[in-house]
Amino acid sequence: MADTSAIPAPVGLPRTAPTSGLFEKLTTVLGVLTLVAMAVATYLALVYAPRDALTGQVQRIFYFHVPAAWVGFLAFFVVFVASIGYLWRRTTAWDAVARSSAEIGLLFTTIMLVTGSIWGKPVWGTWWSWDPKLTTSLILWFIYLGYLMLRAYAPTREQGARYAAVLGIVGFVDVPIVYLATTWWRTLHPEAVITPEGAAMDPRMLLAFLVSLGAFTLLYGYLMLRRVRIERLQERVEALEDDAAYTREVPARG
Amino acid sequence: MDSLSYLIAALAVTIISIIVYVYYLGQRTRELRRDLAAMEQAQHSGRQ
Repeated sequence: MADTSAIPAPVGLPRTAPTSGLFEKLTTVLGVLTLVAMAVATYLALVYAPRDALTGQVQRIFYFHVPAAWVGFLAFFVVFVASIGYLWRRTTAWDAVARSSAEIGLLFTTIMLVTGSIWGKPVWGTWWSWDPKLTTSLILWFIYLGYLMLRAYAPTREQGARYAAVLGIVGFVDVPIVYLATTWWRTLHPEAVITPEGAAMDPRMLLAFLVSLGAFTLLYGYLMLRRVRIERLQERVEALEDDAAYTREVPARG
Repeated sequence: MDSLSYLIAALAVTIISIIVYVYYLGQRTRELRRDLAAMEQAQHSGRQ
C-alpha cells in the first residue's frame, strides 16, 4: 500500500450538503415577499404618490434612485464587516459574504448612477456634472469594480480574498464621503429630504419612499441568499476537484 | 424627450438590470449543480 503520510490532505473540505432545505425555503419565502413588496412599491411610486409641482413626473425616479443608493451603501457596509471577519478568522464563509455583497453593491451603484444621470438631464440640462456628490459616487463605483477585478485576477483564491478584504475595508471610507458630500461641499445634488428634524415632503410621497426603501432592502436580502448559495456550491465543486487531484496523486507517488 | 419618457427610461434600466442579474444567478446555480452532480457521480463510480 502506498505511504500517504507525506502528502498533505485537502484542508477545510466541506463535507456537508452545500444547500440545506431551510436555506432553500427561506430563499423562496423571501423571493415571494420581495416580489409583492416591489409590486406595491412600484404602484405607490407611479400612481399613489402625487406629481411633483416643480419637476413633474421625472421626480418619481427618486423612489428607486435613492433606494438603489441605500442598497449600494448597505452592501458595501456588509463587505466592510465581512472583510474584517475574514482577516480575523480566515474562514471562507466571511469571504463568500464579502464577495457576494460587493457584486450586488456594484449592481445597485450602477443603477443609482444611471438613474441619477437620467434624472439630471431634464432637471439640470446635462447627463453628467463633475459635482462632488456625483464624482465621489463614481469613485465608489470604480473602487468596487476594482475589488471584483482584484479577486478575478489574483494568482490564488486565498490571495484574492486577502487583498480584496483590505480593499473592502479601505474602500468603505468613500461611503460616508458620498453620503455627506451635500453637507460638506456646494453641490448641484439635492440635499437629504429626511433628517432627524423630520421629512420635507408630502406624507403620500414619504409613504411611497419608505415602502420602496423596504422593498429594495428585501431585494438585497433575497439576492444575497442566492449569491451566497452560489459561493457555497462553488466551494463544494472546488473541494471535490481537490479531492480528485489528491486521490490521483496518491497512487502516482506510491 | 418629455418628462415621462425619462421616468420610463429610468424605470426600465432598474427593472431590466435586476431581472438580468436574477437570471444570471439562476443560470450560474444550475451550472454549478450540474457540475457537482457529475463530480459526485464520478467520485461514487471511482469508489465502487
